Amino acid sequence: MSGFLFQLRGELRKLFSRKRTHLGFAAFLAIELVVLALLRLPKVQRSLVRVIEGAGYTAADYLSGQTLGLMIMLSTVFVLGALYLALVGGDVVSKEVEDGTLRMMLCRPVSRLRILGLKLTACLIYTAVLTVFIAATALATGYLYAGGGGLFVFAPSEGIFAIYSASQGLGRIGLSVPMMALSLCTITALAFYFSCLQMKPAAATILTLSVLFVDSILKNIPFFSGIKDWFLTAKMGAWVMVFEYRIPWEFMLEQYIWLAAINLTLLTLGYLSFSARDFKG
Amino acid sequence: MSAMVSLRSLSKSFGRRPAITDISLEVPAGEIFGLLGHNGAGKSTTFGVLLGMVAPDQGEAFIAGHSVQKDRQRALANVGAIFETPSFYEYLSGWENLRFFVSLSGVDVPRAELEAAVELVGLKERIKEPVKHYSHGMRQRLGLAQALVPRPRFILLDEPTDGLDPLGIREMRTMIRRLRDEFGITVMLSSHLLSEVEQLCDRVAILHRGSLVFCGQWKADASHWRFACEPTEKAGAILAAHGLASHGELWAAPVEFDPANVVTALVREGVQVRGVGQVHRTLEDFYLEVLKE
Repeated sequence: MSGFLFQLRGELRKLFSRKRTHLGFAAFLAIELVVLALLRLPKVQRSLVRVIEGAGYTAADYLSGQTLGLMIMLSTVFVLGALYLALVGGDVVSKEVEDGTLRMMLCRPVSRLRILGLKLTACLIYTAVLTVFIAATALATGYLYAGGGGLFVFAPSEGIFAIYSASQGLGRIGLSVPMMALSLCTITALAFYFSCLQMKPAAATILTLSVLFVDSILKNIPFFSGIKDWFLTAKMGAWVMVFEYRIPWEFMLEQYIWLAAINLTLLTLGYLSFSARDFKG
Repeated sequence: MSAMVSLRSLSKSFGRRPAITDISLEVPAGEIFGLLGHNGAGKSTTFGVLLGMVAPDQGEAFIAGHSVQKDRQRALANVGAIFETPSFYEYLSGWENLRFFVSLSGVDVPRAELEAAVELVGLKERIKEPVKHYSHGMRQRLGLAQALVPRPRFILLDEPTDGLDPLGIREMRTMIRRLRDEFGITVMLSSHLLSEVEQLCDRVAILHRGSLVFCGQWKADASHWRFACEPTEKAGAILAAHGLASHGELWAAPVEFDPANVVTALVREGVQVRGVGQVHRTLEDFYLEVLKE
């Protein structure tokens, strides 16, 4: 195991030394600042106040750092998260094949399963780090702008409308972060799967995004509302359920079991394809 | 001497195109062995099979007695390799690249061993720089350094002198010789620079269109002679009658060959002899001859 950890350290050094890896962090920080700037516009402020006060609460208490932080997370995580996870996950194997560095790795007495295991673990760590970064910076920017206060949750597509005190709100946001990371792992698994196939890194990234966008488009077609839960992006949205007053654990567990099964299938197929390939220039 | 490398009836096709067909050969421990052939002859496929990167359709490859196909990790445990152009992570330093690739061997390599390899290939001054600033020759050296750690018993070098300047070629040649002479490492290499192979290798194998057309010590052939005579047909018949065998423009002579007798015979038969000379038949001559046959 220590050998694995030592090799993982090298894999992580490789991953985090690349400029492309850090693009996601920079992009999230930039978009958070843009969203925050837009939220300051009087027109947007009025709209927010109207929704909170329409529910019978005082806007001053709930137009807080937590509320803004969550709004930023909800509005950015799936579009930008998908983009950067697909970029990193789609590159992780296929770029090394393209550059010839994978051939150098395969000259060593290391199994293909171990190589994929190292790369997948590094990608999952990146997913977790990016998720924590998104949540922390969204919350920090929210607090910087609006300061403390309770949490107001308004997610109409998930049918969630809730109000929490500052401490309860922080607890729910804290709970949502690992759930969000788990959801995002499916994007990583999808990109990783495509990366294991015989294709260019850009193709792996584009295919991952295509699958997610098509899935999301289909999910939002009104006639498909009865089968909405079948779609991948709907299952990935399960993390938002932690903001329900009574968290539907059973439903969430079911969604995450589905996601785990999908991830496992993708990774197995990726491994089978990778292990059957001949590597020769 | 026991075989360090053993290829047994290897065949591999990519789609309908056969890449190698029924290749069998052995490389004894302590030998420098050259694998030759035109582009597309099957050298890379053979190396790929030997490193477990290409799965053969038939046959098996063994390194130090371990089957590459059945027990790849054990077979490659004592192998260092540069397969095709050495590629590195451009944004990492040479040292970081070295450490990463070495970590994949799964053994704890002391820092001193890494430093010794870096020193051996002459990269000590530049090893902390990012690889993107390295010249082609420096990348080749780094490739060799990573192949040398942990210390292998067998090293496989695919075009080790490719793209090097004359000085670099000479240094690489010296280094390869040192690997065998000082460290007892068995070396298998491929190169299009036949003069290099000639100077380095004990034995060679020649592949042509995926088949093994020669494997052995080419230097053990009889000495060769060049005759400048007119008319050539008549001269050829006389030379053949004296036991010389035609090898293109050259003639292979038997051990008891006496050039004075042959020249006398040629003159006696009215052949104009403009020149006679003993020729050192190069590996290139031999290679082209074998492929012509």
